[in-house]
Amino acid sequence: MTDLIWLLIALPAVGAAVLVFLGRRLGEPGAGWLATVTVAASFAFAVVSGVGFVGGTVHPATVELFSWIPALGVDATLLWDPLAVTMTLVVTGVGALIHLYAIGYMHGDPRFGRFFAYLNLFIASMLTLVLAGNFAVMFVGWELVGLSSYLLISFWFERPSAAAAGKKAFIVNRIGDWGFLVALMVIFAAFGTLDFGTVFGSAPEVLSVGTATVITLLLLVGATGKSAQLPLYVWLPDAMEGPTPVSALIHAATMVTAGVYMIARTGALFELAPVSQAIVATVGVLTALFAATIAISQRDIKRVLAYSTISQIGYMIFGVGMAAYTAGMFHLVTHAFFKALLFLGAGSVIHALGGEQDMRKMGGLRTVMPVTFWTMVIAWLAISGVFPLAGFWSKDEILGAAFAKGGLYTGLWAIGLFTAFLTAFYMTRWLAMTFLGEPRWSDDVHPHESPWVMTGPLVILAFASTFAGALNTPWRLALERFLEPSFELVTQSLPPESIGVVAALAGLSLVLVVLGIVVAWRRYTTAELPAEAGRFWYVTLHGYWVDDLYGRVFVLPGKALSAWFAAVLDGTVIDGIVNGLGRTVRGFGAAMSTLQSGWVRSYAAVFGGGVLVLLVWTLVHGGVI
Amino acid sequence: MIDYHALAPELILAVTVLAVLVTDLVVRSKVWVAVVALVGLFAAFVPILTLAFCEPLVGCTEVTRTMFLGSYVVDSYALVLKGLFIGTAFVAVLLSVDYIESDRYYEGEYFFLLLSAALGAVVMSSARDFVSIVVALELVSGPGFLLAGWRKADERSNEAALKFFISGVLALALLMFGVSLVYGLTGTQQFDQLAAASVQFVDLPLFTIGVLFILVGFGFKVSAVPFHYWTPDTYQGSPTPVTAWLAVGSKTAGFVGLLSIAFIAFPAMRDVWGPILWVVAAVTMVVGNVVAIKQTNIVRLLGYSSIAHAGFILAPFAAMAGASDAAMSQAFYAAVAYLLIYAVMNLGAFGVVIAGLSKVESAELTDWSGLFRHSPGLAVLLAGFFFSLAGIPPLAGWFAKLAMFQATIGSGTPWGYSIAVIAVLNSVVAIYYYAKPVKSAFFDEVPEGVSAAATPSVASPALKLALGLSIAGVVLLGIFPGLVAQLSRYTSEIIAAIF
Repeated sequence: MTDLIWLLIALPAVGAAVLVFLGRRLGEPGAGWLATVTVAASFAFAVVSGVGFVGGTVHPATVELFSWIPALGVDATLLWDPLAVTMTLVVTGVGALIHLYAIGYMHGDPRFGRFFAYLNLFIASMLTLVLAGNFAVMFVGWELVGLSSYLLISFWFERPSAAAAGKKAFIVNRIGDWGFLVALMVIFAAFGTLDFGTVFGSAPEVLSVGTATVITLLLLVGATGKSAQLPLYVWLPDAMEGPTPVSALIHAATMVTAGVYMIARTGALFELAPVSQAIVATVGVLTALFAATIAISQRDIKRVLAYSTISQIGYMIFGVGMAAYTAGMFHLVTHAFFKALLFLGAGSVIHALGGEQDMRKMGGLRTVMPVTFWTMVIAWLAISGVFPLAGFWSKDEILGAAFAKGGLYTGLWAIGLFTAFLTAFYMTRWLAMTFLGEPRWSDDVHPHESPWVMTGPLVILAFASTFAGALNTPWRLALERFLEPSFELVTQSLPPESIGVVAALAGLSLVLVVLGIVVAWRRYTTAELPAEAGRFWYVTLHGYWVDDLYGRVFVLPGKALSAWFAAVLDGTVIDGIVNGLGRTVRGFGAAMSTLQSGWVRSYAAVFGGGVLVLLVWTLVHGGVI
Repeated sequence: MIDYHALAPELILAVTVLAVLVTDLVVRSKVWVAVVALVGLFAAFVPILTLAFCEPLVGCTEVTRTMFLGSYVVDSYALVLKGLFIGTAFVAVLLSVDYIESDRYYEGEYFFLLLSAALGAVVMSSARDFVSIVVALELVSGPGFLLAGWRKADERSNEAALKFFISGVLALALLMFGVSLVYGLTGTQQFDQLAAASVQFVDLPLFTIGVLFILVGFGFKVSAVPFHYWTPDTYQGSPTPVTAWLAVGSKTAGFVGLLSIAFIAFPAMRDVWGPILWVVAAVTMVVGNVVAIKQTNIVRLLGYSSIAHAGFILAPFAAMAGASDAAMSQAFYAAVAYLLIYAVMNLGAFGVVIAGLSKVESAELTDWSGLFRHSPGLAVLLAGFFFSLAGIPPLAGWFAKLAMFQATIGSGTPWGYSIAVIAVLNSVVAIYYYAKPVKSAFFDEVPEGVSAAATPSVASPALKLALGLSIAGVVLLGIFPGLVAQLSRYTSEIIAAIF
């Protein structure tokens, strides 16, 4: 079975290839169903071939597909272990539901088939990333998800803002990719191989603390790009220009968690660099706080969720940064469920309101869209971290692990706790502004509940968001045991041993969460929306002007530099050299063109001259003359 | 006793050559001539496979078979290159079918000449003495002169043939002079004996001059600067399928001769031929790439591109002065790998030019702008082959360059490092002139006066097959370079056995 896991990638890849060529002919909804079936088949296959890890009948294995770059000793290998299984199940499971949802959401789009070709390409790319057995294959997946993300963000490329958002995502990601690529080079230089098994197994003997720190910090640069962390998070809010299923699948549930997965996968390297671990954890928790404060004041239904995603991934990075890998992965899984659910719900609302995304023009939708509303209530409770929904368990496991670690991490724990309060606040605001209170939409829109292909995935994800917490509770560590074979080489940070301390910590965070909900509830369920005036709202609404700052510090000088390169360097120097070369060649040709003008005798003369020159050179070089 | 199995590819080709001539005489429909040629080439490929994988066959002990007192050897190196030549000829015939038929100069002898040249190239792969090498070289060149002048009433074609011929004669004269010097000094003209004998002549100037003249003879064949002047004129004036054969088949045959002479006959003289070829490689790369920038005609562009690539292929040779035996083996492997990939991507590029010429009816690059608007498939193929030629992954060309850089830097000699630096700079220049036509094909407007949009697609099934084979090769070899690596490693074992 394990030998065939390449099928997981091949199924959606074939789907993408077929849809590129036949997408138009298959039309609607055939193209969508084909794409959905390939992903669902991958999911089924992943379940069948991964279930053995639960009982211990299947063991982690590296599958060699073919010899890829023999000169460097790099083969195309896949790694099938519990960590890969977990990621595969999330990607294909949530992916299949979102494919299904998109059949309804993309109804009537002129490039319906092309959309599903890209979605399938994304699934194949993401699976390449998570199933990779060495860094080279992982890098291929890493780049391919970047490509699919670009194609899907700017899917409606007729809109200049969508095209610009795609470019922004791509360019910002390049910075991260640069870090990842250089990390790979350093790894290759240090180990002479890119194979996961060899690198992780021999890391303690091979790497000095300095090299390990360099590698891991470069990997962090990669993670901050792909997973939208400080300071490279700026592309994700703009990426909301893509169709909503794309936001749900790529920019919430799966691709943006690639950085978390990558750090968890390379834990054996981070283990050797405590400084990097502290930096990663700090970056994570600061991103969580920073993005949460921005999410509070956003007015676009999807932008709130975008900043929320950045914030939640911050938690995950925080987790894997302090070596709480199971906790980080646990939050990754539960977040995939409830954030995909939130985005799909937002999509359902946007769909119902004919494209409206401003929450100030929503409200009162609970009666019009009951299924969407009730599933969103579950998602809201889950992300806020209310007992006993999924988010409560996974978030508190991360916070618990930080508390148990002590020292610097106690401070980070406090920031994380405060962020939990903010999360509850902005999510309550989000729910209230969208579904509660009085309707604020204009008279010419007629909201309606979405068709079953859209609500069906919502209901399934709502179930998952409710019960996924059972995967790993303090008294039943199912996920931790399941993932154990993948984390054999590292020492994990765990939540406190004593159930009493755990309960106290959970109680404390629950109090803060309820407080956040109550404050927001009182503020936003009023008949009139509060004014949200004042310096705090103004600053956070504009995201602390980070985009403008980057624009001034990097983009404008970059443009100026490009202009200078184009005008001065390229126009004068390079063209000068080329033209100069051209002139030299022509001048050379003035002597030569009497030769090159077609007279064979002049060709013969050059020929003879050449022989003569070589002769002299050889004899001089040989020391004869 | 003659080993007919070992000679089967040559024998089948020889029979095919005659069969083509007879077919032309008795069959009215000219298409059958090409069909006979293709069938013959296909049949000639079969014994290559049975020779390479002969273990299961009766009476077969090992791949290497030595004949005619060591003058003619069929080993893995020879087999890989024979396969390459037969494949190249196969594609060249496919490229020709349509072009030659639509031309008013059509005669059955065309395929006769093309196959004769292919036979010469196949013989070249096995030749292990100077007499065989020269016979093979002439068998490749002679038909080449005639094919270049195929369009009898076209002045350019006549000019192409005449320049090619006169330069060729000059080169051959120098080559023969060099051979006679070497023979006169050593008393032998067979490679394995020369390899042993040359050790004592390393310091003798006369012997050095002999080797130099032999190299110059092949320098002409591979169009290395300054023996390249005929190349652009001849490529432009010849019928385009002939140009494809000259740039790929004929040139590769020259390189095979050079490989056999440098690595099999004179490995001990590497300190002599290394520096000579360093100069030639460096100048060839620079002139080929720099002059290519200014070309406005796509065929001339490919002509200079093929000169530039000759420089890249020569780079591993150039690194060999003072190199170790292991580095020699590595360089040999790199050159063979480069030749294999060069053949695939260049045939494809010429295929695109042939298809494009029938559509755009002009070889001027300005007329090719906006190609994507009227012939999207062709534009994509153009991009594929040109990017491969530029060495951009994941197309095959990158692996050729990688192998070349590994061989030059891996040699560990100052010659190797310096030629690698020159090659890097030239690779950058090359991207410019490969990318420019692609850019203009995709992003520029169709110029006025080009009515290509109106003419329907005229690519024949044969041309489509040739293009399909080439693009599949370029993509597959780029993604699975292990295939080439394995084939070329296999050949370098022969070299490793010499030391």
